[in-house]
Amino acid sequence: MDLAGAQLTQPELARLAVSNIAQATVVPALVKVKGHWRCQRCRSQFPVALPDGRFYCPECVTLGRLTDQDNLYRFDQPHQPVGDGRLTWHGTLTPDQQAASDALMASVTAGRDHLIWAVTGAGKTEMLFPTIARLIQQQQRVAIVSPRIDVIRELAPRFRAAFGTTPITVRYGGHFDQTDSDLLLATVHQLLRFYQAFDLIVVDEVDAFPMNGTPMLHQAVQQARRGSVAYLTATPDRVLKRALHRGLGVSRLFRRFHGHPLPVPIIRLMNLQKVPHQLPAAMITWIRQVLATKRVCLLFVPKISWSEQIADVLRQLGLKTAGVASTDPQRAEKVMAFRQRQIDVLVTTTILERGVTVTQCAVGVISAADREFSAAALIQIAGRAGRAADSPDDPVVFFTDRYTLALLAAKRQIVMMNGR
Amino acid sequence: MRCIGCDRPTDRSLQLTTLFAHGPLLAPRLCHSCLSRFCLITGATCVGCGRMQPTEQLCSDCRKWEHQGRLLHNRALFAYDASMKAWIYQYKGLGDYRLHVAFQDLIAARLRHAAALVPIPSEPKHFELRGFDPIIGLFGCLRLRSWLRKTATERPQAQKTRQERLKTPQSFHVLASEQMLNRARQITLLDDLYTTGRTLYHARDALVAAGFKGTIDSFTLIR
Repeated sequence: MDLAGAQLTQPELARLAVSNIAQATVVPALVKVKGHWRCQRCRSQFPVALPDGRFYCPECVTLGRLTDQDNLYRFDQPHQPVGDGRLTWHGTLTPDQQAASDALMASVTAGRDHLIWAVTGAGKTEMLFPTIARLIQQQQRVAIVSPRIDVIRELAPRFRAAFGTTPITVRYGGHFDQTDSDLLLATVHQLLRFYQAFDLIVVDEVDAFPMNGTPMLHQAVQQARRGSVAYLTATPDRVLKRALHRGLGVSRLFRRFHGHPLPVPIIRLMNLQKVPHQLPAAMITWIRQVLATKRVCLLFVPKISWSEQIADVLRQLGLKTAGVASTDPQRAEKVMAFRQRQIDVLVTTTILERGVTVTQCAVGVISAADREFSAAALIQIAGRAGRAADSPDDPVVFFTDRYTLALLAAKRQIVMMNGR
Repeated sequence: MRCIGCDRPTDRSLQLTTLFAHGPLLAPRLCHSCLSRFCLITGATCVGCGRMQPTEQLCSDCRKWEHQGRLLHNRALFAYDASMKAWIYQYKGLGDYRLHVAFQDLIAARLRHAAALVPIPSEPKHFELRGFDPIIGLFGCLRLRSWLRKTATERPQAQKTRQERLKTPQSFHVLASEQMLNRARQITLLDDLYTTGRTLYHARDALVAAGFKGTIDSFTLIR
């Protein structure tokens, strides 16, 4: 087994039955820097004291606890390439996509970080293919990571199809297997198990929860990198926009791959006091109208408990409905059924706001004024509609009982991007 | 204050009744939505072990315990569902000691009037591994009496089947003298989890064998 670039703990070595640790560099898991403990795996500086006098790092505890008595084993030998990186994808890029792809390639060659600021449905994934193919052909190593498991699940089959002859490792949710492949698809957390291992790290949906507001995950990217980092998002946050002035390369794509503008959301004011036990008649009429146009309907709700409650209400009206939330063990199956149109209405929390592509899908947001929906989240949600070339004008409606800045900002930004 | 479950500002605050009640003043550390993931035990429970059931009758397990002396009349806060399993895994399995304050306000409110609180100790080997005692962590907000000691057993209870658990031999020693024990009229044993009851009944037997004459009941976080 090739452990190149891995950064592992003692229990992980035991689980993988690694006997030859002579080639590993052993470093203490927690070190004292200027009087403060710092975790060498995730770089956070707020360890917690244990009653027996040890300290442990609470930020990365889900990957196995590290205390100041533990060691980390870093395997820094060179990576042995296993795949040839041949591109088995035969589509063509639009001129806009080609330009962005070339700019990314130039940034990576120059060792610069790069931001691809592309509207939802611009075809970001396809733009990556030429650069990744070339790096792997040059025997380099690439990781594609995202803070969202759903995004990784969605990307995995597309990458497997595009790189048919290259082995791909897919890793998320505590599952740990081999480390020997040229292309890794994983959640950002998994990068904590690597140290200076990748020549290119692509971070998809970089502004999504939990990566926004968790500096530890940004550190995970930094310590796993050896070359460039490419950030992909439709809604860059302030930190990324500021980095543009400091030499971050950028490609802007404000047009979808099919060339049609983004659907502009309609804001509909109504009384939502009885939600989720009862839905306003106007909302039900809208859902029925949408279904009559051969579309399916994705309804976003701000609370986990609402997804099932509203699904129940709609089921009683005779609609084929399911509710999903992050706590739902069957959510992958339900999304699959929705995609195959066995379900007409899917009620979901913001977990499906990104990376999900369903064709001919109308989008409604219930109680859009809730604090759960930031402007970035609303833009992402609106971006679920109009993904296919044959129905670019799927309706997007924000149902709300009041206006908020986030609502207006989201609508304004979509109009702005359409105008560019 | 921030919720230790989701790190968002908490929406549960101290109640006025808590402020004036007897006992330590402890703030809630979980927000409403994090707390609602767990199943609080309410309504009818078995009088012997505190498990949730339709009637207040003794469950079949407790009827067996009844033959071996007085029942412990265990009370518990939460049912052992998937989210509680996940919580226990993070606390005891991964060793995330931050979580030890999660239920401190609820625990303190329930045990405010208890006489002598005796925690079930963890094995020295486990303490070394974890760096903390999970039971003392959970109940450390109250005045505890460490009257029991546990000797090493071959395997932890969590890795055994139900039958193996019930056959576990006695491994508790009482550290306190008979005189000191009997200064208390009532002892409440504290543990994190009541599964078969074997551990708690062993602790009771050890206390009785050491000469304790009062009543013994028990309280666990989970049933």
